[in-house]
Amino acid sequence: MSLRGTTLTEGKIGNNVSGESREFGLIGGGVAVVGKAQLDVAYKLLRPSDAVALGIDAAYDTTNDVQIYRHISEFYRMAGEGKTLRIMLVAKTNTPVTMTDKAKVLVLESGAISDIAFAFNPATAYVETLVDGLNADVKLGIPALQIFADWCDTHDMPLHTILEGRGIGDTLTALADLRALIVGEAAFSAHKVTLVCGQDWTYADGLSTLGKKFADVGTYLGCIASQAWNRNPGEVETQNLTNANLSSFLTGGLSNHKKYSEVYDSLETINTKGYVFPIKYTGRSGYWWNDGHVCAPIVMDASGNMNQHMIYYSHTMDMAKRALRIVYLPEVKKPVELEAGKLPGGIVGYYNAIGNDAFRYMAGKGFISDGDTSTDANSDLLIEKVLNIQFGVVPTGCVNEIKGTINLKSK
Amino acid sequence: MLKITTEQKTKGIEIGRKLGQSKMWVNYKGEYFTNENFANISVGNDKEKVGMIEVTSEAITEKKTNELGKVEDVIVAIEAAAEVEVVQAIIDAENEGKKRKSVLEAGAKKIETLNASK
Repeated sequence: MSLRGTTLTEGKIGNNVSGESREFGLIGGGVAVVGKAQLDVAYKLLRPSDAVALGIDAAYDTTNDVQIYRHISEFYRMAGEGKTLRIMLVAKTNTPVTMTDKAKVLVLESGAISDIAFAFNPATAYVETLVDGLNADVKLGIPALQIFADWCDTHDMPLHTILEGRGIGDTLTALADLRALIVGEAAFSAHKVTLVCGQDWTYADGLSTLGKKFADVGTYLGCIASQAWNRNPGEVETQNLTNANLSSFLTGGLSNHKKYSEVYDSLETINTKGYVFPIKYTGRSGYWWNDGHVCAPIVMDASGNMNQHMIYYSHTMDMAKRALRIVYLPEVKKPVELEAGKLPGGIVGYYNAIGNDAFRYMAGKGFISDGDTSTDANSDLLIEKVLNIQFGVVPTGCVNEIKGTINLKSK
Repeated sequence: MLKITTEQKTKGIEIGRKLGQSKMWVNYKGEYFTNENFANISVGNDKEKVGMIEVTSEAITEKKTNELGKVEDVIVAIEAAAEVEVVQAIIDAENEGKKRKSVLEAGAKKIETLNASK
């Protein structure tokens, strides 16, 4: 009997499966700050003031002709303070291709980064070369980032990458089709790569010649961080990029530093080709990202399996993998009683229930539509010792367009 | 057909090699393409403003030897080639230079394959 009268003990908290354990990453060219932010070192931020404490502020961007604080401040403008953003500055001589090796260090910091943005801030003497309407280093970066994402996946840290598509060409009809990429004369699917080629035109107009060709990857990353992982970063109700008080995105544009109004006629074409940029909707004030495109074709096979052809499908796959890995890990190395060398029905049901419970939880939260687990009773747990389980996830759908028919009626 | 400058050719070969292309196109504005169609579109289909760069053969024949690449790189270039003449140019360059057995064998095999598919 205690004299305390009332005793309240805190309950245990299990693994976080709410999806809110996500962290975000940003790697980009910059310059070290004496006694503060250094190159090739990972830093954890929770708000823009953390960056300022590292010597990264608006003046840092101007002095060094880079967009680092810009991306950080835009990330937090859209996502809100408190989200974990892990950043790394690398020498400005790096290109997206060479950044991928350094990004591995950033990703390994926590293993929880679900999306990482690659900001391309080239050195002052950099000369842009266009290949298929894309900056040559950006074009080379697309397959490199997919390979990087594959590496993360094979190390149980699945993530999506967002590449700054700086300096696209002016002839938009001749832009490479990101939904039908050819690398080494063969089709290449970069379903883990989103190429952002949109910018806040007014902000960019005040920058240097190189700066004018930047793309707002921090803003895009912030939209992703502000919402559940199955949602579209271009969601009209919640993702308006414009903030008149902050003078943000008053005029949208592309990374060739052309205003929305100047490129309007080509936007449908580059949307179909998988580019991400800001658009307007008649009747509403502001700008929104056009969609959650990835650099991959849209594929569905005869069995009903589809590829991760949108960023929210990429996220669904990643987060389902992470959740299933967490719930199945405690089963590893446990003994299992077999019947005639096979898994008994009760055990199969037990393993199925683990996956289905995880799916039920995600469906209950509205992250997925449904999920199904099927354990192979013939799994060889004696010699091979591998339990084979097949999972199927039905993601949530997305209303990309509403088509209606309307008539005037006499009665 | 556009008259391509040495600088454009060198740059085109460099980019083409990185992208694994055997051919590149360049327009009069100095923009490069991996696809002839897009190159033509970029200049309003005025083909006089577009030129083609043979990445593999140009790279090899300029130096007359295969010193530009390691064995693996040269074999990759052979595999990527779509024309017998391109492969032959690589073989000739190899014979001028290091005469590496694996390169010559890969070249001969590729020519056989290309001839068989005609």
